[in-house]
Order: sequence, then structure tokens, then C-alpha cells
Amino acid sequence: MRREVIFTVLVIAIEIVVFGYLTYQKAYQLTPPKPNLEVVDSFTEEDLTYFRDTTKTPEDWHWLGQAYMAAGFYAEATATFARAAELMPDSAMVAFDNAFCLSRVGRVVQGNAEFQRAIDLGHPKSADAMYFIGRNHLRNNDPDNAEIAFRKAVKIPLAKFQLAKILYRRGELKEAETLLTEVVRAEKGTVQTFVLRSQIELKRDDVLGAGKQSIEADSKWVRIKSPFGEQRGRLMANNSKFGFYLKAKEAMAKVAQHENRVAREKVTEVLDEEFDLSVHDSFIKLDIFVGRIKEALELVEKRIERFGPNSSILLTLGDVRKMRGDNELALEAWEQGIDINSDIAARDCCKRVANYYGSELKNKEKSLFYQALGAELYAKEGILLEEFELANQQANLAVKFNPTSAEAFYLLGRSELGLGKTEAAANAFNRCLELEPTHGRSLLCLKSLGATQKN
Amino acid sequence: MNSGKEQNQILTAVLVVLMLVIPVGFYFFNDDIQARGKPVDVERLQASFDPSEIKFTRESLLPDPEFGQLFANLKLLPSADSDWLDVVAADCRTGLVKRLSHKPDGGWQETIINQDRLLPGPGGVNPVDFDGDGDIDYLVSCIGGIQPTNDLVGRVCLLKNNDGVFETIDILKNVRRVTDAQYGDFDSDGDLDLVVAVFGGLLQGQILYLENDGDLNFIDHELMNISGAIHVPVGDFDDDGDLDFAALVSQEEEEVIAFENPGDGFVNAKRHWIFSSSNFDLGTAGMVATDLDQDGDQDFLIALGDNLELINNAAQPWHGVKWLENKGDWNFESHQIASVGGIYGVAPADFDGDGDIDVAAVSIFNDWSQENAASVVWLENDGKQNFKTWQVASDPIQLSCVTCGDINNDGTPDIVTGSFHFRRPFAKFGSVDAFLNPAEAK
Repeated sequence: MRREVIFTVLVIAIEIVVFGYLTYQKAYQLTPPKPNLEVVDSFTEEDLTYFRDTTKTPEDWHWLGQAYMAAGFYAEATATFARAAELMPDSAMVAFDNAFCLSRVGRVVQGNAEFQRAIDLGHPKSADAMYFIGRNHLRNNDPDNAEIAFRKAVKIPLAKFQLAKILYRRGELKEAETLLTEVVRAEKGTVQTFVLRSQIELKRDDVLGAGKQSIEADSKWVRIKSPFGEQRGRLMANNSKFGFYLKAKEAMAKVAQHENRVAREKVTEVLDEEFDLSVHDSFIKLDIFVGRIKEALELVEKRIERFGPNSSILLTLGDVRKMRGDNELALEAWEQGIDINSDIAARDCCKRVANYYGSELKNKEKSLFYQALGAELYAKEGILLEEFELANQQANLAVKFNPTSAEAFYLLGRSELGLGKTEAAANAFNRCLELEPTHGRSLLCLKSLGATQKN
Repeated sequence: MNSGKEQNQILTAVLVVLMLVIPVGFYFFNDDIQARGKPVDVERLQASFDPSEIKFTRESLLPDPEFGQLFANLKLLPSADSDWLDVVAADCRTGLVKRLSHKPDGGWQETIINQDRLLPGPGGVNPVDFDGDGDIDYLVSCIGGIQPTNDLVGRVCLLKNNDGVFETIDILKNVRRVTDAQYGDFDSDGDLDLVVAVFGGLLQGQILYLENDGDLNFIDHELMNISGAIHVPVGDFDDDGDLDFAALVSQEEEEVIAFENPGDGFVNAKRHWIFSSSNFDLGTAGMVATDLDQDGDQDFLIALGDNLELINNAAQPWHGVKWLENKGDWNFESHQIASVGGIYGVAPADFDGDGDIDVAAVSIFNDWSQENAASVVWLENDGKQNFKTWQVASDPIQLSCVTCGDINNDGTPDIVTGSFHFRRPFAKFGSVDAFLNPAEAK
């Protein structure tokens, strides 16, 4: 009996020592850094505080690092990732995130060491990691090592493009061109390739050749796929998993789902905390949808006060004023919307103004003028998006409605050029120059056409 | 005996229970143990500097704002009614160009120049008698809007002074976002021509030369298809008597390309790559021409601090101010003269009156989570172009532009800053602020 008691006491003593030690270790282990949360909104402050206070496991540290990075606390994020990496030395994901964050604050040497570790640990995006290593070498003004990294990551078209750029900078123009051809083969019609070709031609003092590439570049809008874009997407996704952007996302979802009462509550809660353009715009939509026109007008005016006028908000201002029956004021807003910008919303302003003059005042001349202007804007957009059929159709309408617009003939020429009709294009450019002899872009296109025909 | 045995049994039972309870308790309460250890170390860039020995005094030229303002460019002009200088400000938010004049009884008065129509994001303004009729017109470059877009929203406008009433004339439109337009009689035909930085949207942009036919009709010549041209300062950089210009190109180019005028304009200009960084994330944000070392030729000061790659920006160790020293024959040597996060604007002036040229710089993207992070600094020149960074202010924050001049006519140059505040933290707002240099600094 006595032996049993002694044995049990011994076990208890060992337990106390062991678990006491473990508890002590746990209680006095390193804690996550505390950022200055006064610089963020209270939703984000609350969530980050909670994440920090409940960080225990290595996975918690990893998530906290991601949350800090998403909220812009990069210094705290690097420290947090570093701890996560200590706790999970075999995690390629943690090494990659740590490396990406170190790179964001310009700690490129440490960043590269971590990217290399992520590769060694078998990260599924090893080529991306190698691409980032190359970019960090560039940040360190070390193009030679960057070249080595990009050659290793060469299956990524953007790495190949960076390689071409390094060679171009070094004066190895032919090699750069060869690489660009390979990039084009992988990612057709990407804008960067035309821009770099144009620069290569300039280095060769071939101004016409550069101009030709420049015209091509003008219509391109697809970019070479970027590993950085993917990481940015991840970061944005993380950003909307907590705090202000989560609340904003939820509020806008309620607006989209037409759950009007809840939406109003949520949107108001978010906007009371911080002025956010997307949420504010969605509030405007909500008020218009439920017919609260006076309130919508106030919100539109507030937006203009905070972020200034542009075609898009002036279009809405005009629409809201029209709903209130203030037709003259609506017209004023739409006309301002056309004047201030040349974007997609400006084209819709044109439509409104053309309709106004066409229907209400029966001012056919003015209506045609604005229809022509609208068609010009459509054509312009078509050219930028390489939709030359649409651009051609609209440019033809523009010259029909306003045969004195040099810009309309230029756009007609550009669309003909895009469709491969060089003679028709030359005619349109010449007509543009008859109307406006100083139209430099038409001159450039004609020169470029001349060079092509000679070749 | 029995009772002793019973007691032993009870003791044993208690001990056994205790033996089991300890690990079970640990198992269940393990998660609730609060960590009380020290926080992990955080490595940060230096965000604040020694306080300036010259005690600048802040004076706001506009009422205190309740939200972020978007001033992109400032210029100084002699005032019509006061000894003080007027400040001309390009207000990107409202689409207005404003002239701010010091009132005789103190305070400042605001006059809107473009009363006939709003401008699409005025980002640069130059007071100049453009049409040669003896009064001041304003040349304005318009970025279209602060959000990046590939649309053709850029514009160059002339606010033409017709006896004090300004008429807005479009000189250039149907181009992508424009960040700068500078003037000069480049082809020596007696009228003013333009060079224009079409910064562009995402990847397309241009450097243009606009040749004036004398009647304000301009032929636009594309000198380069390149995205990210920010500033195009003009000067005689090769000392041959005609005006050249240089373009600062950011957006993953991070170069300065100079265009040498052969004497008849830039159609046949020779291009010189006078600065080229391998760091495609250098963050070049602004450039001015000045003879920093006073050796008789024009150098450049470059602001490094742009960082808009993510929704939240980060200061970088290479941010700060670079000096491109003109060594002659289109050779320039670059020197980093200050390291401060997020520098967006620089301006030269002799603040301490010791005869050499110092530099003022403002930051838009310093680490604002640090309480005393610098937003305005000046760099003291020791006469040999070694610079010490002095902190002037940490409030207001998020400043994009700066200009220097003796605005209060006390014999010492002052610093005027413009706020471009569109990101967190939404505090310490400014608008157009002067930091007045005390007369004793002379």
C-alpha cells in the first residue's frame, strides 16, 4: 500500500513538473506583434485584435501573417510569417508567403532566400517563385542574376518578357526580338510585346518602324499573365475575409440581392465607419431602385464633392435629375459628362443628350451632332478593344451624322486599318487631314501605311 | 487498523484521481492558456528623422478639410495686390485650377481660374503668357481621373486670359492620361510649342511633341510609345543654346530619356538614355531640373516613392531622392541623396542661406502607421552635395507636390505642399499648406 502511494505521488510530481513546464512554455512563448490599429477602421481593428489574441497554432500564425499583409501592416506581417516559418519549417506555403511579404517591403535578399526555400520544399508554384526571385534581383540592381532566374522560370511568358527587356537594355536587340516572338507565340496580341518592339525600333533609330508598332500597341489591351497578379488576387480575397472589406462585401451583396431593408442597414453601417466609393455607389443604386430619388441625388452630390466629377457620376446625376423632372438640369449634367471625359459613360451621356434634342426640342441638328459624337466614342472603344467591325460600323455612322468631324474620319481610317483595308484607310486619313491638316495621328498612320506599302 | 487501511485507500484513490485529473485538465485547459511572452521583433524602415533646426511654421492656405484632398501640382506667382506670392494649385478632385492670394488682413483668398468649364483631373499647371498678349494664361495637363484607365481621358488645355476672363481651350485630347505639359519655342519660330507626358493607362502611353503653327493649332508628333512618362522638364541640358527636354518614365521602365534638340524642334531629336534603373519597382514619381551643384549646367532631382502595386502601399528602402549630376556630353551620374519612404515631390531652395542648394521633399506613402512618420523633410547641403535629412512635419500626411519660394517676402524660401490623400489612414488631412521659414534662417 505504501509503495502504491509513493508511486502515485511520484507520478503526480512528474506530471506537475512536465505539465507545469509545458504550461510555462506556452504561457511565455513569443506573441504576435501588435500593429498600430488606430490607422484602420474599427471593424478591421476588432477582427485583427481577435486574430492576434487567439493566435496559438502555427496555422494561426500563418493566417495572422496573411491578415496583417492584407491590411497593409507589412512590417508586422513579415515578423509574423517569420515566426510561422520557425514553427512550420517544412511548409512551402509559409515560406512562399513569407518571401512575398518580405519582397513587398523591399527586403529582397531575405525574400529570395525564402522563395528558394519554398522551391526546395516543393511549392506547387515553383516557377512563380523563381520569377519573383528574378524580380527581386532586379530590385537589387542585379540584372545578371535576374537573367539566370528568369531563364529558370522561362516557361512563364512574363519571365521570358523580362528576359527580353534585360537584353534590350543591354543592347542585344536581335536576341530580345527573338524572345518577344516566343512570348507572342505563347500569349498572342499582348500589349507589352508591341510596346517593347516599338522601343527596340527606336533604339535602331527606325522611327517609322517604331510608329507602326505603336499603332498596333494602341489597339491592344491584353496583358501578359502575371504571377504577381495572382498573388494580388489572393491578397484581395484575404482582405475581404475580415474587417471593413468583409462588411462592405456583405453590404453590396445585399444590395445586389435586392434585400433592400437589410441592405440599407448594412450599407449605412459601413459608410458611417468609412467613406468607400464602391459601397457609396451601391447605396446610390439602392436608393434609385427603391425610388428614393431625393436621397439618391444627395448621395450623388456627396460623391462628386468627395471624388470630383467624371462622366460616369455625371451620367447618374443627369438621370436622377431627370427622374425628379429637372430636365434642363439633367441636360446640363449629361453635357458636362461628355465634356469632362471620353470614357464609356460619356457615350451614354451622348445618347441621352441626342435623345433630348431629338425628342423634346426637335433640334435635329444638335441631336445628330451628339449622335455622331456618341458613335465616335463607340468607335474609339471598338478600336481600343480590337473590335474593328463594331468600330467601323460606328465610325461610318459618325461620319454620316457629322461629315465635318476630322476625328470621325480618323477613327474610320483606324477601323479600316484594323480590318486590313489599307486603301480605304488611307482615304479616310486623307479626308481627316483635309478637315484638320494638323491631325498628327492621321499623319502618323499615313506615314506608317506608306512604309508598309513600300515594303 | 481498519481505519488506517481505509485512510490509505482513500488517500490512494485521491492520488489516483489527481494523477488522472492533471493530464486531463491540461488537455482541456491547454487551449485557454494565454500567451504572455514578448511579441516577436518587428523590423521597420526609418520613417522619422531629426527635427529640423530651422523651425518652419505651418500655415494652411485653405480651410481645414474634413476629408482627403487631391492637389497634384503647385506653382508660385507674383501677386497683383500683395507682397506675398500667390499659389496656383491644380485641384484634381474638383476639376478646378485655383489661385490662392494672401489677403492684406491675413488669411488667404481663393479664385477659380477655369470658370467656364470643369477640367478632367487637372494634374499639372504652368502659368505662362502663352499667346504673347502680355497677360498670364495657364497651361494645364489633365489626367482624366485618379483611377487608372486605358480610356482616352487625358487632355492638355490652355486657360486663355481674355482681359481677366479665362476661356478653356483644348490643345490636345483623345489621348490617354496626361501628367505633364511643358512649353518652349523649340523650333525657334517665335511661338510656344509643347512637350507632353502621356502617362497612359496600364501599359500604353506616349511622349509627344506638339508643334505650334502660330495660331494655336498643334501638330502632334509621337516621340516615343512608352507607358509611365510623368514629367518632362525643359532646359538647355547640353549648353548649345536651344531647349532640350527630358522625360522621367516610371511604370516598370524607371528611366530618364533626354531628347536633344537639333535646333528645329524634336521631330529629329536624338534620344539619350541618361538614367536607367534595373529596379523596375524603383517608384519614380517626379523630376525637376536644377543646377544643384552650381557648376553651371542643369542637373535633375528625382523623387522616388511611388508604390501602388497593392491596395495598401509600402515604403521601400530605395525610396527617397536621387540627384542626376550632369557631367557634360549627355552623361549623368546618379546619387541617392536621401532615403525616405514614399517621396513624391522635390523642390530645390537655399533654406539655410549658406549659398548652396538644399532640397525640400514630400512623402505620400511613408509608413503612416508610425506616429511621427515624416511627410515633409528638407535636405541640408553641406556645400559638397552631401545631404542631411531634417524632418519638417508629420502632419499633414499623404503629400504629392511641393514648391519653394519666398512666399511671405521675408528673404527666406518657404515650402508649399499639396495634399493628395486617398488612402488610409484617413486622418491628418491637409490641402495646400505653407511651411514658413523664419527670417533668421537666412
